[in-house]
This record gives sequence, C-alpha cells and structure tokens, in this order.
Amino acid sequence: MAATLPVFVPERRSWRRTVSGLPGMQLIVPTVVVLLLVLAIVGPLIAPDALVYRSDILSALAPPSSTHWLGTDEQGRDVFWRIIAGAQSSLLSAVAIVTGFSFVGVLVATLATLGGKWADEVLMRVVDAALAFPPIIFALGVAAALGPSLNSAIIAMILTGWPVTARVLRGVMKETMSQPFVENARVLGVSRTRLMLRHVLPNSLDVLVVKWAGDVGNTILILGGLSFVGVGAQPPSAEWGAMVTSAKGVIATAWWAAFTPGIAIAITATAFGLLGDILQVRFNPALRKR
Amino acid sequence: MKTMTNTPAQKDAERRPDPGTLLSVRDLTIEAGSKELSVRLVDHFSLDMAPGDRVALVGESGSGKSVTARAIMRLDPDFRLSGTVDFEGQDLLKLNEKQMVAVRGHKIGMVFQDPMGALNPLMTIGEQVMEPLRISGVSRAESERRAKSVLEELGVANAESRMKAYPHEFSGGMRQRVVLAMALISDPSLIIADEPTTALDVRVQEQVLTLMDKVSKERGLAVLLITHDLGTVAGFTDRVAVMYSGRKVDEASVDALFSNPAHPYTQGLLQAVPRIDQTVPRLLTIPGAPPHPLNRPTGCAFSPRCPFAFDLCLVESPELRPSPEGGVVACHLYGASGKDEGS
Repeated sequence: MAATLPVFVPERRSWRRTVSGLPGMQLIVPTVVVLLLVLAIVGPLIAPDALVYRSDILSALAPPSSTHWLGTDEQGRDVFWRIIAGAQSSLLSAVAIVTGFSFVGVLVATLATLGGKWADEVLMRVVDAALAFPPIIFALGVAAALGPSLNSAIIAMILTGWPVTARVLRGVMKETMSQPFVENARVLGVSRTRLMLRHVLPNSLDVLVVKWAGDVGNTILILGGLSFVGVGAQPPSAEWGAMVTSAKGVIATAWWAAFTPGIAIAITATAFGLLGDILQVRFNPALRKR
Repeated sequence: MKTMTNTPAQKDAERRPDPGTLLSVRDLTIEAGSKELSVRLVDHFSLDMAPGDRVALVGESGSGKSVTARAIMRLDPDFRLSGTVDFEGQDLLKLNEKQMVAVRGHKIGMVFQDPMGALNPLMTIGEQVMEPLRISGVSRAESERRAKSVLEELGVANAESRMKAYPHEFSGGMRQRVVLAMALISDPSLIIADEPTTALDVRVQEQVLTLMDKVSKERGLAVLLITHDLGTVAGFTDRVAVMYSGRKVDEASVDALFSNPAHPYTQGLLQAVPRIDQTVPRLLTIPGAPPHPLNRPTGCAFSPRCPFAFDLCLVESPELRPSPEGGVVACHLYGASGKDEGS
C-alpha cells in the first residue's frame, strides 16, 4: 500500500447514553429522581384527603380546569392530587421491589459463581423453576394466602422478579471471572471470597445498575396491572398503575384520567433509566474521563 | 487411557532434592478430561531450580509449557496432577486450597501475557499493587510505602501520584511494570513469567526484559520463563528446557543449547529462527505439526517430523539421558543402541 488512509470509526452509542451525556443531564436527571423520591415521601401528607379519596359523582370525569388542574376521574376525584398522593405507593413500592429482587438475584448469582459446579447447577435449576411462575398468577396465589394488599403484591413481585436478575448477573459474573485480571488476582493469593467481593462483583455491577433502573419503570406498570386485577393497592388508595388501568375504559371521553398518571409513570421510568446510565458512567473510571 | 507403571523416572521420584534446590518438580503428570476419556497434557515432567536460577521453558503452542507452569501454582482445579512439586521443602501438590492461597503471590509470583487485561479496571494502581500485602495483614501505611518503593524499583516515575491512577491511564509497558510490581511486592523467591512480553511491542519487550533482568539479579530471584520466543531466552536465561507434546525432550545451558543443540526438535527450532545476517531463499520450518494429545504416535512423539528418525523411534519412546553437551535429552540418537549423528 502506497498511502495510508485515515480510518474513521463511527461512534455508536445508545440513545440513552447519548441523552444522559447531554450537557445538564448529569444535573437534571438526579434532581428529577430526588424530587420524585421526596414526592413519594411527602406526597400523601400534603395531598388533601377529601380530594384524593372522596367520591363526587356529580363532578366525575371533569376536564382539566382551574379547580381540578388535571381533571377528575370516574369517581369525581381530583387526578392531580391522586397522582401526588399515589407517588408513595407507586414509586416507593417499585423501588423496594426492584431493590429487593436485585439483592436476592445478586446473592444467588454470587453463590452460583462462587460455589462451584454443583451449586451453580442446582441454583440455576431453581431459577428455571422460579422463572416458570407467571408473576400475575403467582401474585394471585400470594394474595390468596396473605390477603389482597399492596404488601402481598410487593412480596409476590420480589419472589417472581429475582430469577431474571440472578440469571443475567450469573452470566456477567462468569464472564468477569474469565477476565485476566481475576486470574492475576488469584495468582497473587487473593482468596475466593475476596476475589468475588473486590474484583468480580464490582466489575459485574454496571449491568445490574442499568437493569435496576430500567426495572423500576416496568415494575410500576406491573404493579398497576396487579391493582387492576385486585391484588395490589386496594381502592380507594391512589396508585399510578391502578389509576391508569381503572381509567383506560374512559380514555376516549376523558383522556386525562388515564393519560396523566401514565405521564407520571413515563417520567419516572425515563428518569430512573437515565439515572442508570449516568451511574454506570460514574462507576467506570475509563468512561468517566471521556 | 491406561497409564504405564514403574518407569525408571518413577524411581527417581523417591530421591529427595538436595537442600540447595528451590523448586524441584518430579514426574509431574497432568491429565484432563473424564476418567473414561483422559488426555495426558503433560507426561512425567521434571525440573530443578536453585535459588536465583533463571530457566526458560520453551515449546510450541500446545506443548504443555503453560499448563505446567499453571500446575505448579495449582491454578486449574479440574486437572488431575500427579508427581511432586517440592518448593522450599513443601510438596505443593499436597497442600489444600487455603494453604495454596498463602503460597500464591507470597512465595511464588506469577506474571501473565496480557498486561492490558491483567489489571482490575475499577481499582487504582496503588490498591492493586498493595493487595497482596493487605490480605496478609500488613498495615495500610506500610503497604503504601512498600508499593511505592517497588514501583520505583521498576522504573515507574512519580510512583506516589501514579498509585492513585486507574489502569486505563497506563500504557502497555507501564501496565506490565505494575503487574510485575504486584508479583514482587511480597518478596517471593520465584517468579513464573508466562510469556510476559508476547503482547508488547518489540521496544517495550526489550525494556521489560531488561528490567526483569536487573530486578531478578538484585533480588536473587529465581525466574521460570515460559516462552516461545527464542530471542527472549538467549538474552535472559541461564538454562533452557524444551517441551514437545507434553514431555521435556531437551534441557541444557543456554550456551550449549544455542551452539550445539542436541535434540533434533531443538535443532529445528533454532533453524527456524530467521537471522538478520543470512539470506535464505525461504524461511526454514519444521514440517508437520505437533500431534494432538489424544493421538500421539507410538514411540517418540516427534518421530513423524524428525529427519533422523529410525526404526527404534517408531516403537519406543526415548527416556531422558545425559546429552553430550552436559544437559539431558530424550532422543534415541544418544542412546546406547542409537548412533550418534545428531550433532
């Protein structure tokens, strides 16, 4: 070859990475997440009970106005204040569920990776079995056993959510195990437990952070579905997913009742998804510097 | 595969190594696979190293040199090992995993091929260099002091501030120095270097080798260098062991091996190294390829590729015998029944 041509490698990035890399996003996204969490804590305290819970059939399905900023639902309750009040049961339960099953999943994946062939085989068969339970059906079973409430929905979702995390994390950890630096740490006399905690786990968690953040949005929706079939949050308590599902029948005539809590879910899911990406970049020194 | 019993080499195993020996590998045999389909990766491998000795283990890919080195460190729990590996009077093959963890990194250091991947991307250089000390209970301040001094010894400038850096901020040669520092910080008496310079470019190779040479001389450190690069061997070691298809076939001092190679395989290897002062119509190679460990020929494993092979070579595998150059060689050309036409 006479001349060497410069090679341009097009940069490929996920849209989320692109969005989370925009100037200001590093500040906006965590702020939105913090605001949502604050709302989840103080929401039920500041929302007037009368507007949140009391039915007022005469003003049912009123469009947004100065008295009802986001309109009213089919029971005549104020949608705006229900969203504020519902932040707690939607967001905090979703965060609790995802954190709960991520913890269980990581624990199982760690044991499977650390425990050798037999432990791995047994645990992965347990995962297979657990994956076979459809979350909704399982939740109905838990509700039948514990009584229908938000708590039994949370327990049911933790019990059905962990296998996916365990399976994914186990794969990532096996891959990390085969990295040269893990072998190098081993020949330096690092024990298996320390190897796991200091080298394998930290280098596998970036996947978990992204999955955790993505799962929060999903979980709010599934919680809504559970409320709809009567397993999750019980009426008249406000919960975003339940608000969407109960108002979807009237979406043609009163779009605000289903649409606005949907927007709340979308904002939350996006904020947590972007937070996952920002955290991933934060955790990785090689990405951080760019 | 049925294993043979009562070879002369096995009687050898009963002899204790003399006290001046640091590492004495006797009849190390490594098998992989299930009991039904067992593959013998390494067959009755023996090697002695005195303190400060620098020995190269050379051979083609698949000759068993890396597997041997890893077996000394007991890194592959799935392989079945037999024989003895005496290190400072202890048979490493008899230790349990917990005792082995105390040997790894503390008494025997190991350096791998790929310096780019050998460092944890999420830990600072300092944390990683200190790790072997920290796990054996040395205080943080003391570990930091020793990490700094070993990094300086290895030519890392501004060691104190570089210890706060992450691996991606280091070049390949620098990373290999860090990996070396990790292996050296606990002051081991033996370093096993598995192709330490293969992944580096030639200029950096030279730097790293010079550094290893200097450090091992100053510390009286024994080095077992695993390589397929004969250039590295010539510049760095005192003694060479050549492996072929899982067996040691030749061992001699570097000078003897390069000037007067005994085994036909060694001769072939040396001829295959291109020389800058000679013009050849085409590069010399050894015809053929090493046999698969499951399908070794009867007799000498090298016989199908050997230009001097005669009838005995096809029937009987040669034992190691003293070679004319003062080492040992496994070749019928040097046997009582063979004719000496090898050199």
